[in-house]
Amino acid sequence: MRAAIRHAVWIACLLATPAMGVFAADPPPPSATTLEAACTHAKIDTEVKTAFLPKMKEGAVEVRKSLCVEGATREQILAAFALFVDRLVEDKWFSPYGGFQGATDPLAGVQRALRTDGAPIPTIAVVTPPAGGDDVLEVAGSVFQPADVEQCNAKTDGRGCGPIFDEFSAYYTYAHNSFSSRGAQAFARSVAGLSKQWNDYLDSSRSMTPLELLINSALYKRDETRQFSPPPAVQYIVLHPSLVIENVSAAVGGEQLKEALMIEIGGMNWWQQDRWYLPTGGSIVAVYSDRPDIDEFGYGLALNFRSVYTIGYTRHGSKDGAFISFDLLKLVQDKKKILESYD
Amino acid sequence: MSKKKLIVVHGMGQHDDASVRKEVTDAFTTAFGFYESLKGQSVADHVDIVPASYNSFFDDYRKKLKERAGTLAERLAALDPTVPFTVNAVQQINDVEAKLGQDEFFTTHWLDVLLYYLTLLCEPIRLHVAKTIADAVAEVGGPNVHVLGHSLGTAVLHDTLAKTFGPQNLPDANGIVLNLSPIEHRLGGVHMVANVSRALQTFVKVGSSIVRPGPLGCTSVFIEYRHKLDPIPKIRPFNPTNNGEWIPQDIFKTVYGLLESSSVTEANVHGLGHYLITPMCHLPLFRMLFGFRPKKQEQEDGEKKYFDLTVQSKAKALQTAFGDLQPTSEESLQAVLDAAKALKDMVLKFGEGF
Repeated sequence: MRAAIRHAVWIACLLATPAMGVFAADPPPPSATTLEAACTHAKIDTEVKTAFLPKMKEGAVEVRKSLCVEGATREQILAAFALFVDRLVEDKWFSPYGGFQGATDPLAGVQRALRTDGAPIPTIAVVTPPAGGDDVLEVAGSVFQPADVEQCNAKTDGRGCGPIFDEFSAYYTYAHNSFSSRGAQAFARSVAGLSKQWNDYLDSSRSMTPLELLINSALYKRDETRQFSPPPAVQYIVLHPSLVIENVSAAVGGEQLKEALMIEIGGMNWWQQDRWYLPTGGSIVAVYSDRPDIDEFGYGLALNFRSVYTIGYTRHGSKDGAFISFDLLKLVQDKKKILESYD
Repeated sequence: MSKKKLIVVHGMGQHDDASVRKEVTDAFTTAFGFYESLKGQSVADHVDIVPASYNSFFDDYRKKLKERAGTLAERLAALDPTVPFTVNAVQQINDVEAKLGQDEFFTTHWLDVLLYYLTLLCEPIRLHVAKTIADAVAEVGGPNVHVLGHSLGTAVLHDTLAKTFGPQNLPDANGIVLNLSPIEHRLGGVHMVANVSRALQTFVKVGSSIVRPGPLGCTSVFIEYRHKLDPIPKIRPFNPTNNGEWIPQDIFKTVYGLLESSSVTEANVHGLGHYLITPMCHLPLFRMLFGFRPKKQEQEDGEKKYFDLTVQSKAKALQTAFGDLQPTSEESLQAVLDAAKALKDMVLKFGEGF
């Protein structure tokens, strides 16, 4: 299928070439309806410091045009790219500089991939051996070394084949990115979606003490895979201290309503639950407060709303108590002030 | 031709995009000064430095701790002083939490390592770095993107790349592609400065991950930069061997390198800037990022200018302290923290910052 499109484009270009004249050095500006990331760099730098492969630049621009101006599909862009690669191979692009060792060509692997439906198309990069030595081209883990560096030196003022490879890789990548960019953008979008979920988790979930963070993290990491994953749907609450306002009606006068220290011994919170009238979670609690004739410690249950506000029930020995969190108290007070301002 | 992008993932400490960009730009500018053909030129004209800072994730958590502990402390203080031990215990825990929220060295440096290694904060950090990489690849193409991690950043970078290019390179049930392709989005280079990724590895061993050059990897070249007197990367270093297991033997020396420098220009040999001004480190980077290939004389002159900056006294002290360093603990996290503390103490003695 890809080969058929390639041939059709080849014929169309042959017929169109006499009328087109010289290829433009710079592509026309991107289409107003195109938001392709690669088109933000649609203009190749006109100040080319080296000019070893002028025809290649023109060919790369043509491939990029198909993305930024004509809005082609991946198949159509690949066909234009295949044409570009075939021309380079037919022109024996590196022969003027001595060719590669073993009479190989890094584009041969690219052509094979282009002929295989669905195969990923490799990039080509310039690699400088870290320990020193001549630059090479790298294609999907295979390395291509120049056959005669001296032929390059003659053209590059003794700098080896590196400057030629730099130019080759730049134009090749410019053309290649015309279709590969979309995959990178799709990944970036999915990552952005996951990031938002994590930001929501960090902003909206119940605050965690270091102990809770460690426990929830251990549970998360226990199932961790090599894929990015969303935040956990449930938070475990463990020994979480906070202060509440508790009312024990059986206490002596003036002692019913008091601040108390609550420790949520264990519980769970489903932080994504967004209906305000339904609890996000709950826990078993111990509450401490000092009142005459009332047991200091009470035990009971708490319900959390929107992961922040807590109400609950306690039992101090035989005496009942009820409490709300300071956040909820403050919310009620703030609402009350607003209502009073309308009086 | 598009300028190449160098994505920088910082290490522990207080960093943001501006400070990371400045540190790298300043180091490169100093290095430019060593070479006649680069002197006076702007770094930004040659390479696009893209910081991927993640400190805000730690800062936000520390801030929440501080706020929560502050409110609780205030209220606890108002309670009856004749309180049982339970309340005392809560108060002490609260004091610890409050301390964790403060700007002390432990909390601004070591806590980063602990929070990354032990908690689920690691995942949103990796997603943030992954987005930075994906955006860059989408804009200029994989070969024009080089990624550099420093210290803790090497662990962040390794883990991010392992998941970004991971083995499950397929669309999910909703048709969303959750990976970059190691073939079509292959990176120009991965540069690990003071590499601690193996010491802090978790969900995948660094020797088994896709973060490598070669046919099974995601990058064209993989270089480690390690200073012989920097104690931190000595803890469980990543030392792949040329046995055909990690990458094929015929390309090992071409696509992988371990560059070990030993010259000292300041006591903080662990600093990213210290690494980058060393010719052994910046010359391969400059060559790959913007094709800088100085002639032999220019290179030798540049190296001489660099060596004129070296400080013998500091080198001697570091050699004595860390020349034959052995890890303090079998537990690599503990050993990394101990090594970092020892270096920090030495750096502060010389009146430098860490």
